[in-house]
Amino acid sequence: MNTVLNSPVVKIDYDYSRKQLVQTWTGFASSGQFREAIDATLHFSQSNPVRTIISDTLNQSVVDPADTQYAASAMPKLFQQGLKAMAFVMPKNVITQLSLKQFAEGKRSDNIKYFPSIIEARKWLESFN
Amino acid sequence: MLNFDIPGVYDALDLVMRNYPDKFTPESKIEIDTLLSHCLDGLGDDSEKFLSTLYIRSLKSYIGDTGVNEHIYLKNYEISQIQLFDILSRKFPFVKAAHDVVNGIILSRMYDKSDVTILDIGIGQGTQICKLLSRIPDSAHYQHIRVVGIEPFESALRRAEFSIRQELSRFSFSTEFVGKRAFVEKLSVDDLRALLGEDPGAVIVNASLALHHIQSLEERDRVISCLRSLLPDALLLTEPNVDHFEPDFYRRFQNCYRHFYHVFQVIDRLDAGGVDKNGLKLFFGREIEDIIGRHNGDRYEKHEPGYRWVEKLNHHGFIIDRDCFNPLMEVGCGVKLTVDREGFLGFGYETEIILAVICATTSG
Repeated sequence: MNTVLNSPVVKIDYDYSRKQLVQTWTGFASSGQFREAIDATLHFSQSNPVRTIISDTLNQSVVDPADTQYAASAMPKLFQQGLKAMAFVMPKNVITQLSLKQFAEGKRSDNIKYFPSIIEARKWLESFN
Repeated sequence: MLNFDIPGVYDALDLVMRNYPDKFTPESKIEIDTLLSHCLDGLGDDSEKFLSTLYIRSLKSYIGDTGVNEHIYLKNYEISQIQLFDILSRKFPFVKAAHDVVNGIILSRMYDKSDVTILDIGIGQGTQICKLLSRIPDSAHYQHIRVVGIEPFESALRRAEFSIRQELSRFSFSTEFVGKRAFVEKLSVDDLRALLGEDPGAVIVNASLALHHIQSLEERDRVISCLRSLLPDALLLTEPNVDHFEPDFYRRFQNCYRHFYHVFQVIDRLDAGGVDKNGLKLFFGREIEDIIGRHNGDRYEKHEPGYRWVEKLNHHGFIIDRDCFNPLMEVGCGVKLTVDREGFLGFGYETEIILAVICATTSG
């Protein structure tokens, strides 16, 4: 495991064997903190093979709609760079769920799915390895 | 299709309301906007989203503007006062049926009297009293009917006077209308006696959706005590059955949401178009704004549950008459009538009693 980013609101780890990035979000991210994580994911993917991403939003707070848009706009680039699938672990916070719904409505794809736990997310992503 | 369940609107609103009134951070303002964006999507077709939008509007009037402007969306649902009045009085069961029930009881109490004074507190534009008078045949046996209307708003009182005088002019027996522009809590028992006149005959008091506007419990008690001193043959009280007197904001919000959630369910069942239904919902938004969006001292809609009005009436020596009600009456829109164990007639929808009608007397 290699830590790509470790900030107060998100830790991004890279699993070499699975070629998998894991974003673990905690609490409320300011716009700068949120975009820093999206940019770090993009930059890392440019120079490293990333086949799958888990975004664990279980403990994440609400995301500004403009930042949700920012994250959605990064998705095509990630897929161009070789991403095969992305799994979200659903947030506990109901309003963060609405944020994620906004993201999901903008990015409907068979290769992006939402799971109640990280175990189920990992299991689904195994089929892309 | 999204492959996850969209959370219930109430759960999200509940989370937002927990921050009221002084815990709003940049994060919680984004929560409000996120929820609002969700609600505005399909607003006109979803009662719960409409209701939640009204709560958010009330919140925002307290905390100041956040990013999304709900007013321009809600403005689309405004209807004219005439349309609104028409729906409220002809179709909305809580108003229509409550008027019918109360007027029926008043008429039955008038039946064997020759000289009657009806004291209406918060007479408004006189709609209920006009309906009452329209049910009295031209050939009725009365010697004298006097209507005393107390109303704080001049324009409403003038309209009430005009309409009621028109109804009264039909009768061959003597009639009288006395209007008093005042808040009832500012009147003493002597003031009230003076309004009734020296020989008022049988006194019947009606207070429909009026007494909850009296701000303090002490004043409410004093008014009821004054009314008791008039020795009325009957006192008819109609009040929403909900605790909006509750000072704790979060508990008040929960009471308020449960109440209006059920009111909106009934509105959805009205025999009316979507424009009218949403216009009516928007009308109730003003009450929600008062209950949720104002500080305690500035609030006007301070409803108390039916049982608490019963307690006050009992305390001042009134006797609750539970036998005058006919709970089998058909109201429509899924609204069911029940006589509560406290003795009031409850207008309920599903598990919620929304409106209470109380009939009290001063003699057994």
